[in-house]
Amino acid sequence: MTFKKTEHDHFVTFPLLLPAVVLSAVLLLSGCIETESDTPDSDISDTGVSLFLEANIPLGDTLVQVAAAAYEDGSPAPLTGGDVLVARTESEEKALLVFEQRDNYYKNTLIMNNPDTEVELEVAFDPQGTRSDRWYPTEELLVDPGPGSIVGFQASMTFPESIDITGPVANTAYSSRSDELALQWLGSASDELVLISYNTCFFETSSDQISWVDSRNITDDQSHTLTVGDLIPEDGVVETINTTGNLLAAFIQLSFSLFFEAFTFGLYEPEEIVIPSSALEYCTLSISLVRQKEGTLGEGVSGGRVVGSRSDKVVVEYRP
Amino acid sequence: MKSFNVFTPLTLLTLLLFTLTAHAENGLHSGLSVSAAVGLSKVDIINDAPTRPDFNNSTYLQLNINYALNEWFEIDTGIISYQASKTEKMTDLAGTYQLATSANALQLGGRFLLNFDNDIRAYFRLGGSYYRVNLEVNESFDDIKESGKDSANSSGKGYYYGVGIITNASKNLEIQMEYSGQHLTDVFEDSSRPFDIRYKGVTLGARYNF
Repeated sequence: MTFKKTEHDHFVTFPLLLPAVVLSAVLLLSGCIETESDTPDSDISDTGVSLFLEANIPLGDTLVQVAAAAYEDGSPAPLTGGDVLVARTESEEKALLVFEQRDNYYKNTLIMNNPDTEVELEVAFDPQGTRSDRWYPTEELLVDPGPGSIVGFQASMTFPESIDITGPVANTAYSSRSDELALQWLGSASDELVLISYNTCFFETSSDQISWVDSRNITDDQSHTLTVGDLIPEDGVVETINTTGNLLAAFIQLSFSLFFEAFTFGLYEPEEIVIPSSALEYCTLSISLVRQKEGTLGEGVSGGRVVGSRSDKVVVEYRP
Repeated sequence: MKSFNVFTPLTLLTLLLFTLTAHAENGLHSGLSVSAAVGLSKVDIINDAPTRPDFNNSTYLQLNINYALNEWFEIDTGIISYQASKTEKMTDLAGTYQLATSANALQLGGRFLLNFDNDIRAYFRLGGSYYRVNLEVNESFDDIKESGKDSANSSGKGYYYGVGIITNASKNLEIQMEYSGQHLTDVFEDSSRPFDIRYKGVTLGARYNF
């Protein structure tokens, strides 16, 4: 692997075509790429089952995005053989779907008209429902291994106050890496505030582009200032998102359709790169602020985290 | 569902044919003929499920006994046995699975013949069939849960067709090549997801006229 640590927070770069880079984000999220900066996540228990669950409502939306990741004995553990994560809002109930078959990351979107109500999650055993897309009658032909050890686990989460980004204005263009990017937002603080930035840079002399995901925890006091260079460093490389909770938050913020589109382009190896201003045409920075409220893990799991969150997003540009 | 052994009636018919062979050796055609052929068939599943399997080709054996009523029409009876055909391994929320299907069918219909000259004839045959299908699934669960297999049978009705050419190899023996199809309808008819199986293939075989 070619990653190097710098002083930057939780940051990773990939010299890839756009779809490939989004795929790289997927690989990061799924734990397929190991970097020098990978550190043990204290939320993942070395023994037993760890579950990470997050439900997010984007500002002004009546949909809730629900994502989950499962681990057993510290390793990714796909739910299988009829075990399924079911999410439930006041309006509907849906199974969470895998992004990539046999992965341990799950996601779906549900209608949620009232953000003051709960989202419930349950690990259910549904041997027929998990095979519902098969072409043959599964009631006639079924290998039933029985329920797994975490079937019956339940969790619920409520949501913090909504977050509304008031600055910078969307599509603001910055011309220097030293320019201050002053984030301002409304709403009362909750347990955590995570900044997720999905950055894409385009070059003058090449049709290639670079994209990467950055996450960092910041204080929820309605303003935070960083420089463009904090998000678009001149000589690339650095450190990946280093907590499973933030991976899940990033997983929610990136659209499912982009993930699927990226997946069709195949696998790419990450490489170390530099991003000199002289070669850059421009970069887009899609910045999400995710306000998180801790939920309570139910009985039957050894580790993990349950979070209800609300988010807002602003897209700005860097044009040197 | 009861099973049937397609080879038992064949044994009885073989004994009858031995008797008729003597008749043919005297230079007289009785109107009775028997043919055997081997073939390779494409296998398609037809239903409205969101996923569609991709089976590999199936080899098959076909045995027919025909009786000519006149120069251009024969009563066509036979059995056909499709060997197991497998899908690729597929995955979904429940796990990884692979299916295999095989089928036997009894056929009853007619064969229409057209003489081009003394050596080459063409024909078209069509009729109904009674089938028995076996479907088997192998499922695995990422080594997290125990893998295994299950199977089930289904019987029902269908139809077949074929077009082919026949050429003389000797006084009583002919060689035939055929393009044929077998459509098995409403497999697992009473289930939540019935389907049709469509076999389309080519055969090469021999026919003996008694």
